[in-house]
Amino acid sequence: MTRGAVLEEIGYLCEDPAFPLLLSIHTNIALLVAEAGTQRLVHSYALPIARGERLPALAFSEGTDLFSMRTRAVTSGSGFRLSGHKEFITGGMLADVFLTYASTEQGDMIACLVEATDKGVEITATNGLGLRTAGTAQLTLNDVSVPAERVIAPTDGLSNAQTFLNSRRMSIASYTPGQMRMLLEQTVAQLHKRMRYGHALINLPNVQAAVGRMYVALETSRAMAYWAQEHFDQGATHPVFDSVISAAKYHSTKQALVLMDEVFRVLGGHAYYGDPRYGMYLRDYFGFIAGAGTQDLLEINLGLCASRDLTSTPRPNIQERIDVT
Amino acid sequence: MTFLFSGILLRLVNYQRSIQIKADTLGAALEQLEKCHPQIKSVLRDGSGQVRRAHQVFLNGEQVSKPSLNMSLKETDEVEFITAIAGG
Repeated sequence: MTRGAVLEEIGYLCEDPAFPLLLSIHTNIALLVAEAGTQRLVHSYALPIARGERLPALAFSEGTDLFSMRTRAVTSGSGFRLSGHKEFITGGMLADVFLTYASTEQGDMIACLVEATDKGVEITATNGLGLRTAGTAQLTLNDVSVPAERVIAPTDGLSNAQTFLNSRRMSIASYTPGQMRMLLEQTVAQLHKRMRYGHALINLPNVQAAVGRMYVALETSRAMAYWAQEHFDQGATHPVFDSVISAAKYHSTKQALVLMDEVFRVLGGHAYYGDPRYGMYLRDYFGFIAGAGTQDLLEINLGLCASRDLTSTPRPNIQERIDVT
Repeated sequence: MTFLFSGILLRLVNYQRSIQIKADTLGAALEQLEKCHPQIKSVLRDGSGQVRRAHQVFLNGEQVSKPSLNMSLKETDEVEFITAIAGG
């Protein structure tokens, strides 16, 4: 709950909507690297990242399905040589180290750290619809040598990446309500100032209804985020794909876009031409439709899990077989 | 025992929702399955042969948090895989 509350306040207070996203990526990567467990990784990467001395980014997506990724890791001594191309890297232009994933000759996937200064690394900027302050980039790996001590998951990198994305969905669900609260407050302040037919806009019933819908969008997003955080604190979350966390990210994304739609309807030209922050947040929220699992894919996964969880009828006396190691 | 499949795994088993296997452990059942459907091996298992953590495994409706290849199975048992994964 504490981390969620901090992220929500950063979302509320920060003028740059990309900052809490970058911050959450950094802390989630620090956690993932720390969980890899080696002292060298903790001291060389996890702690400096946590202190803000190193800036990491996730280089995972390739614009393919997860079982068709083309970046290859070829064994070289005790380490690997990586070749491939990664896209849609939030914070890639700011990063000095990348958490990346590559398929091995055996059909498995490793997770490892690549330094921006490693020979064969090319970083190029990507111009997207939004997140323009997040330094989005592409990463090309040309036969890059990665020593064994920088491998954080020598096997099952797929699940390692899913663990990261699970945490990232929690972060998005946590800080987005803070941003929505700030946007709603700014909008209400404008509606008090702007006059129509001799009245402040805020006094018109249709505008009050729009504010009501924005309030519902905000408070239901906060409630979902708090429930996901409590669920996490109880140790009840699935580490790879948690339905409550995913539902919270899905809901906050959808409600943030509902809120922005209402803002543009009640503020009209002021939102479109006046205050550039509204356009900035609208563009950034469209990024959430794709980020940390597309909304459509989350619907499928949530439906898949719910359709079995809500109909399962566990049978007793199988625990001793499950416990066999 | 019977394996149950859904979602993205279905295409790897010719869209069969259930497949019956004669085996008395999970590891032996997976080996039998992989003989008929070799493409599923690298999707279900990691390089050490263990079931990837990305798959949620259920034995007769109850989730198995760390499925062991030595887990014993009976003829009437159902093992279901739920694979909820996403891109970045």
